[in-house]
Amino acid sequence: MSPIWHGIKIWAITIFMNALLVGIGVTYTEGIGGLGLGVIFLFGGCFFTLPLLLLIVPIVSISCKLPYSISAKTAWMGSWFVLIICGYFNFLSWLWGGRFFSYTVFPLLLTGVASGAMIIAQWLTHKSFIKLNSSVNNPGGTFQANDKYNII
Amino acid sequence: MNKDIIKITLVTAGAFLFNLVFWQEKLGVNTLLFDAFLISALFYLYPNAGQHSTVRWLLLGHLLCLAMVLVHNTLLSKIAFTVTLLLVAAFAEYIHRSAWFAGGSVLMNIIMVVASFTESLQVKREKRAKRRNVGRFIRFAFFPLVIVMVFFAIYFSANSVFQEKASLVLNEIGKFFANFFDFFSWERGLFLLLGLFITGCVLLKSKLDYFSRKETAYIDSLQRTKKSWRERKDGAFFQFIELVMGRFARGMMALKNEYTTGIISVLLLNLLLVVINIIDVDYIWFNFVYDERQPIYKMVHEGTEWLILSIVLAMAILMFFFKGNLNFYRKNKWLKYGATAWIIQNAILVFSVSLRDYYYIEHHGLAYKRIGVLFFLLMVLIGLTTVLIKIWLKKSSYFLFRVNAWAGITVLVLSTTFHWDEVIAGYNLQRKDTVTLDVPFLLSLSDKTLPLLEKNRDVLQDSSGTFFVNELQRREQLFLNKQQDFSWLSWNYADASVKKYLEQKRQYHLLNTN
Repeated sequence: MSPIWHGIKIWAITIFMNALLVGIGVTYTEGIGGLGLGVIFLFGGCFFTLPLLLLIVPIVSISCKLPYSISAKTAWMGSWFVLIICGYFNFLSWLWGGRFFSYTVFPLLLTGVASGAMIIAQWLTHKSFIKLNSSVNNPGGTFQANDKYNII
Repeated sequence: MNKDIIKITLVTAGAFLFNLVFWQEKLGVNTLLFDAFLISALFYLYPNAGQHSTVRWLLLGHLLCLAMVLVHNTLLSKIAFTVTLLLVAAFAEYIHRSAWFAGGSVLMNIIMVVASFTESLQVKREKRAKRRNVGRFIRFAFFPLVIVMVFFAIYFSANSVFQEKASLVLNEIGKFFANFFDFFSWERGLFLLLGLFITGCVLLKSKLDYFSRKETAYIDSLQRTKKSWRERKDGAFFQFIELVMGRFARGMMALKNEYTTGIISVLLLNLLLVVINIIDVDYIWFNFVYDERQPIYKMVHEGTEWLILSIVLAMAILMFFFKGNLNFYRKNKWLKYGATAWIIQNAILVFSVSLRDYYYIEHHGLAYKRIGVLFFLLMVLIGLTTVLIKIWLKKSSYFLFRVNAWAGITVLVLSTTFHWDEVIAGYNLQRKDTVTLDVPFLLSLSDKTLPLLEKNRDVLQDSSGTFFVNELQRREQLFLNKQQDFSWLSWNYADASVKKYLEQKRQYHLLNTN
C-alpha cells in the first residue's frame, strides 16, 4: 500500500459516488434521463478531476506523517479534500464563465454533493488508510485487524 | 475533568458565542465579549503563559488594539487586533522569542485545527466497542441502500402510480427539511463553522511544534563555528562567492580577499551616496522651490520609491558582507568604519526622502500612501540602527529579524491609536486654501469623516455644483440605514458619535423647516 495507490482509490470512489448521487438526484427530479447524466458525470469526472490527484496524493502522504491519531488524520485529510473540491470547482467556474462561484443553488449543490462523495470515499477507504499508516510508521510490522483501535 | 473535554467544551462554547454576537453585526462591543472569552479560556488552558513577560507585553498591546477597535473602529485597528491576538495565543502555547517563529506556529495552528479538534474529540476506549457495532451496521446497510435508491429511481420513472404515491411521501419529507432549514439556515451553520475554526485556531495548540523547536537553535550573538573545507564548499553562500571571485574564494587568503572585496564595495558605494546626498542637501534641504515646471517636482514625486528600495538593498548588502567569518576577522576595522559611514549616509537619505514626502504633503495634503511612506521610513531607520548594532556587537541575523519584528509590531499597535481617515480629512480641510483638495478621495474616506465633511460643505459645492453634496447626503443616508440593522453588539464610539451628529443635524433641520 502506498500513498499514491490510496490517493487514487479515494479519487476513483469519489467520482463514482458523485456520479451515483447526481444520477439518482436528477432521476427524481427530471426522470430516467438523470441516469445518463450520472454516466456523463462518471466519465467527465475522470477526465476533469484527474489533475486533482497531484494534490490528493501529497495530502495523503503528509497525513501519514502527522503525529495525530487515525481519526484526527482522517478528519484533517477530509477538510483539505473539501477545500480542494471547493477551490477546484471555483477554478472551473472561473474558466467556464470568467468568474468565481456566485451564490446560486446549482454550483453550491454540486460542490456539496462532491464533498459528500469525498467524505463517503474516505470512510470506505478507512481500513486501507490504517494499513497505509502502519506501513509508513511501522515499516517492518505486520497489520492486524485490531490495529484500527491501537494506532493513536 | 479531562483536559481534552475542557478544550472541546471551550472551543464549542466559543463557536456558539461567536455565532451569537457576530451574526449580521460589525465589530464593536461584541469584540470585547468574544475577546474576553478567548483570553480567559487561553489563560485557563495554558496557565503558565502569564509568567512570561513577552506574553504580558503582547497582551497589553492587544488590549490597546481592542480599545482602539471600540473607539476608532478602523480597519487598521481590526488588523492589529487580530495580529496581536494570534501572537498572544502563539506565545502562550509555545516557547518563542521571535514573532516570526511565533507566526509560523500560528500558521501550524491554523493548518492543523481540524486535526487538533478531532484529536481532543477522541471517543474513550471503552466506548469504542459500541462504535464498532454502529460502524458495522452502517457498512452492512450502505450498499443495499445504494441499490435500493437506484431501483427506486428507475421504478419512479417507469411507473406513474408508484411515482404519485412516492411523490406524496417525498413531498412530506421535503416539507420537513424546508421547515428545519427555515429555523436553522445554511448560512448560520457555516457561520458557526467559522466560529469553530477561529476559536479552534486560537485555543487549540497544534502537536507540530516545528517552529518552536527550530527557534531553539538560534541565538542573538554570532558564534564562530569552524567548518571543514568540504562543508564550506557545499554551502550555497560559498558557491555564490566562488561564482563571483573564482579562485580568489579558495585557499589561505580567501577571507582576506573577501575583506578586500568588501572594502572596495563599501568605499565605492559610499562615494556614490555622498554625491546623491550632496545633491539632496543642496536641492531638497536648503534650496527647495516647489514648481511643477521644474525637474525637482519629478524628483520629489517619483524618486521616493527608488530611494526606499536603495536603502533596503543597502541593508541586504551589509548583511551579506557581515554574514560569515568577516565578523571575526581581526583586521576588519576599516570595513566596519566603511559600513558605519554607509549606514549614516543612508540615514541622511531617509531624512531626505521624508523631506520629499513632507513637501508633497504640504502641497497636496495628506493621503494613505504619504502617511505609509513616513511609517516605512521610521521602520527603515530602526532597521539601519539594528544593522549597526549587528555589525559592532557581532549579532546574528536572527537578532536583526527578531528586533525588527518587535519594532514593527510596536509601530503597528501605536499606529492604531489614530483615526487616520479623520486625521487626513481634518488636515486637508483645515488647509483647504493652500492644499489642492481631492474631493472624490475625501468622500471615499470612512464614515467617521462625515461630520467633518458636513461642516465643510462649501468645499464640496465649490468643486462641481451639487454633485458632491448629493454624494455626501447619499453617504449619510446609507450610514443611518446601515446603523438601523445593527444592535447594541456593534456599538463603537466612532459610529455612535457620527450617528449622534447626523441625528442632531436632522432634528435641527426639521425644527427649521417647521
